[in-house]
Amino acid sequence: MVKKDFITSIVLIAFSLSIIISSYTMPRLERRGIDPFSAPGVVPGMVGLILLCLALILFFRSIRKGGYRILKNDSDAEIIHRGAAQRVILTLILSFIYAIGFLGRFNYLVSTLGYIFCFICLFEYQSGQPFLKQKKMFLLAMIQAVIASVLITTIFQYLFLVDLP
Amino acid sequence: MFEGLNHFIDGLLGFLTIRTIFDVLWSTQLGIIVGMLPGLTATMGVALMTTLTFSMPPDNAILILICMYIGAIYGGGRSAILLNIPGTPANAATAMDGHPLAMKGEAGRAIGISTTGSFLGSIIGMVLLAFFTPLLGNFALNFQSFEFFWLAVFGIVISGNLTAPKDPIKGWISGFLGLFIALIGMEGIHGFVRFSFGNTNLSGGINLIPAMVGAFGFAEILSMMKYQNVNVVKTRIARIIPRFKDVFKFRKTIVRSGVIGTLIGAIPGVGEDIAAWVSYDFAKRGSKNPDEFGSGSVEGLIASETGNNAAVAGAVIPVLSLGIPGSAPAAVLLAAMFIHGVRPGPLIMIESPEFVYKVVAMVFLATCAMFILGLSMVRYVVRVLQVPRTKLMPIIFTLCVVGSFAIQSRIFDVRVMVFFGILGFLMTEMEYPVAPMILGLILGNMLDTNFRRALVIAEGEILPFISRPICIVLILFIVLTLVSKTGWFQAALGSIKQKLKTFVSKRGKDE
Repeated sequence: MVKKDFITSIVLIAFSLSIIISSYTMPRLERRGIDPFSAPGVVPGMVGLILLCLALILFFRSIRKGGYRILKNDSDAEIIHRGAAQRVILTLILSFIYAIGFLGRFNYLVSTLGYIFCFICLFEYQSGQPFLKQKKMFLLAMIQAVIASVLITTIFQYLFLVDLP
Repeated sequence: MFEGLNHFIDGLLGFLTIRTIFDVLWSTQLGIIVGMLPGLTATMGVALMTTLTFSMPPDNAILILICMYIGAIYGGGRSAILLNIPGTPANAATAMDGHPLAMKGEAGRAIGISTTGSFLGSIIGMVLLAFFTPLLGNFALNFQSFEFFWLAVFGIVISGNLTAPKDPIKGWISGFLGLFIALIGMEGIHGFVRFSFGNTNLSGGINLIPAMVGAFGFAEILSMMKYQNVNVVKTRIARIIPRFKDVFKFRKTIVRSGVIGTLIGAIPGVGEDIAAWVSYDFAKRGSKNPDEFGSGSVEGLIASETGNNAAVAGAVIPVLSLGIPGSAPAAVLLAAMFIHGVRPGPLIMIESPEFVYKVVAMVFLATCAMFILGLSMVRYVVRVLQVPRTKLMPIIFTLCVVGSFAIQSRIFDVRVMVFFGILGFLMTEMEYPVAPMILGLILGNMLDTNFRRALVIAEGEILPFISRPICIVLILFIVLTLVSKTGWFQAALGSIKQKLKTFVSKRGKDE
């Protein structure tokens, strides 16, 4: 955790500095005769300063605990177990493609059906077993995807009168 | 007092129609299922339900949201008992004793006790809600911009402190990050657009609901997908209705946990999980059998469940009286009230006191529904837990998408949800609590406008910020919260305690 703290503190220092600079350079609207204390940059600048102080405390604390030795190999370097990381990345990619890539461009029902089907298949597919032996899994995934997407679309659109992407 | 009782009875009678009772039952049951399912939290349930109840009359919509909230916090105990995975973070303490009881073959008894504890906790919370909201609301009428500024700072500091007890700096960073995010978009005094970088969507600011659905929904999906599937404990669920003596024996623990839960719930941005842990800790300290805690103690189970459900009503107290949420789901509730044209805050006791007691009646109805549904259909409802997460998570994500899209019909909000999901996941991985960030997002506007307005009123003088009586009290609380975790403060506190002990024992010997 010390290494993670070291890295995040650097990111936070850079981030808070950028907030302070942006707030300082923000127009003070003097031409409009506005009171300087109510200038739009006052509060962001203050928040940026507090964030900077907190990030600096985190930074020096992590240095004191040896967090700067990023390349030193120890158990902390292994952020998450490889299998777990793969599952998270796969979930992220699939959800990204669905939410950012497909929605709003393609039909909602079809996109949702495709997303649910792909999600189930990818996570339930067993690489050790032959493809044909897993026909049942594909079939069940398709049935679930059809039922879920049709139900979600119908309930939201017609029962709760909610707009769908 | 009697006026309040009249408002409560009027509100309750107004809700006693077949349609409303039907709404109460289905939304509470849905809340129980949402709470039960790891990956679906109370916050996400309430946020999604806000979308669905968008077109309903305000009273019905808010009633449904409260039912969902109470149901979800209670329902999380089921998975804590049967899976050893808390359905919502509020039920983490429940797993400590609930799961060992289930492993001993007493899952039914554990569910019955947790239901009764939740019911009693919620009733205690409801009574305190009815009592404290008008008091706090009337007191808050003395607040001006100076006080509101310090109140926002206090909210961030205490929320950061309590949600990251091991490392409060991370809690505070999370809170101030939330404050910054709230400052994106058009500000409220001069209409100047900040940090939007020319993006028209960003100039409207970050909407709370998509941010919360992302931070508590999508982030939870990512966290859940990290792990392999877990199996439900194979146990026969026998008698569920608890024996009277099982509950009566722990009456002191119940009352203590109910009061603690409500008070913790009322602290801005702290929430049910901390309430449950503090109640559990107090119960352990006060117990005759503290060794049993963690290995199937009925007292431990009842303390945590009473504490977390009492915190629900507690979290509503600052929502109504100050316009500040006591927990993450209460933050969504607050946003939903604004969406439906209700303006909670210090003026509520003047503008619409009957609404406060209507909310008390809503909590009462939801609590009764939770108790009835909690003790019935248990064997059927727990089957939901057997659905593998690979089948459940894609459906939850599609609900997250709809929930974030529906209120303003903008794809941008879906992107906000995804962004906050990733941010929330990374923050959790780095051990930063997410709740203070969301509280910051809510309090940002209040802090910004009140600070600048106060500066203008005081003509740039800092003195009014530190000389007004309420400000001094708030500053003292903030300083105390900030220094409470420092080594020297703990050491000083320890030495005072030690001196007191010696003094007391000396006096005892002398006498």
